[in-house]
Amino acid sequence: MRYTALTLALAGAVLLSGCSSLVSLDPFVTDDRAASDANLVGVWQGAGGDDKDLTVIRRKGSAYTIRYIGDDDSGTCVALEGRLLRVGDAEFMDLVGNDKNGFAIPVHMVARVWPEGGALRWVFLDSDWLKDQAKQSLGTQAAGDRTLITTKGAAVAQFLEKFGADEKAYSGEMKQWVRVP
Amino acid sequence: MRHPALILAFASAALLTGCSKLISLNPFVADAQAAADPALVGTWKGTGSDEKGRMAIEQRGSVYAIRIEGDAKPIHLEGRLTRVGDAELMDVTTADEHDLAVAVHLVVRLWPSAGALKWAYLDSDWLRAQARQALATQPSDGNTLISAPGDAAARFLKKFGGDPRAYSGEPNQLVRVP
Repeated sequence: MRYTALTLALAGAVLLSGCSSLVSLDPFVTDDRAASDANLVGVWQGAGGDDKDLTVIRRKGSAYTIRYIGDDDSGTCVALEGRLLRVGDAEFMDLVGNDKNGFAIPVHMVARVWPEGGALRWVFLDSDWLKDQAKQSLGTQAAGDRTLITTKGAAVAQFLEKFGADEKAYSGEMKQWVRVP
Repeated sequence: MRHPALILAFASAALLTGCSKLISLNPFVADAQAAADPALVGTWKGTGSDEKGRMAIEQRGSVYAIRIEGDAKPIHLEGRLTRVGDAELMDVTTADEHDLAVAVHLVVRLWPSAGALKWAYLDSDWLRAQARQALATQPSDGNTLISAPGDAAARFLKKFGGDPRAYSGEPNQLVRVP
């Protein structure tokens, strides 16, 4: 994957820390299934002492608006829309950007989140195991170095409900944020 | 498709604006099939006297590097040319990084001549109907997205791309910038 300035900015971001390598044309969480968790709303900062990037999460109808503001000279700002799903004790956030310019179409990715009072942990669901499950049970294609789910409709949400809570679904670095008072 | 400010900035310049209604996840033209036409190389602008937008085309091996500049951030594209009969068709996709999106391909038909370049998207209702009949497609924000894997889109273009019904309306015109 090539890294533009935006990507470099995102790579350092507390929120995204690179992007998921499992993405979908259709949402993992639909409006009619979207849940809420008041603990998510607020302003968050990376738990590392040097991390000045901010992530602002607001509730908007059945969704969340998520805005990452980078602490860099270019004023990086990335806007995402999130939808929360609960499966048992697990909480998942479907994320989609607004990067729409006619030469690219937005894709959905999903993260597992653990909001706990003044802290929030976050990891993308894109382990090799989960991608194998997607390839076996859904229509997928390679999109660069990512696996793109092309299946339409409820099957994508059902996939998340079936496999998302498994601890094998994530393997990347877990990020931790602290709430900005 | 909604038009962000970036696209609107170029719309008046009659340059490639990425507004085709027929798009594909996979290429319409593979590297191995890519042809060349030296007449495409150069810098182009719309025909209006107040046009600020510029489109620079360079050939890099089997690929054309396309840079569109105007009032906003430049757009970088890659083009791959093929011929179907007398028609020159170019697969166009983004060369910019889009981590929160996946790149798609679209096709323009080109008519280069001395000092001028006409172009039109291949996205007529007729062509989209052929795509829906022949290939795996799905609606995507008002457009028809070809999701068929492999070289299916390339074979589709070879079959239908040279047909005059594949585009609708008058082609756009660019003029060479000396």
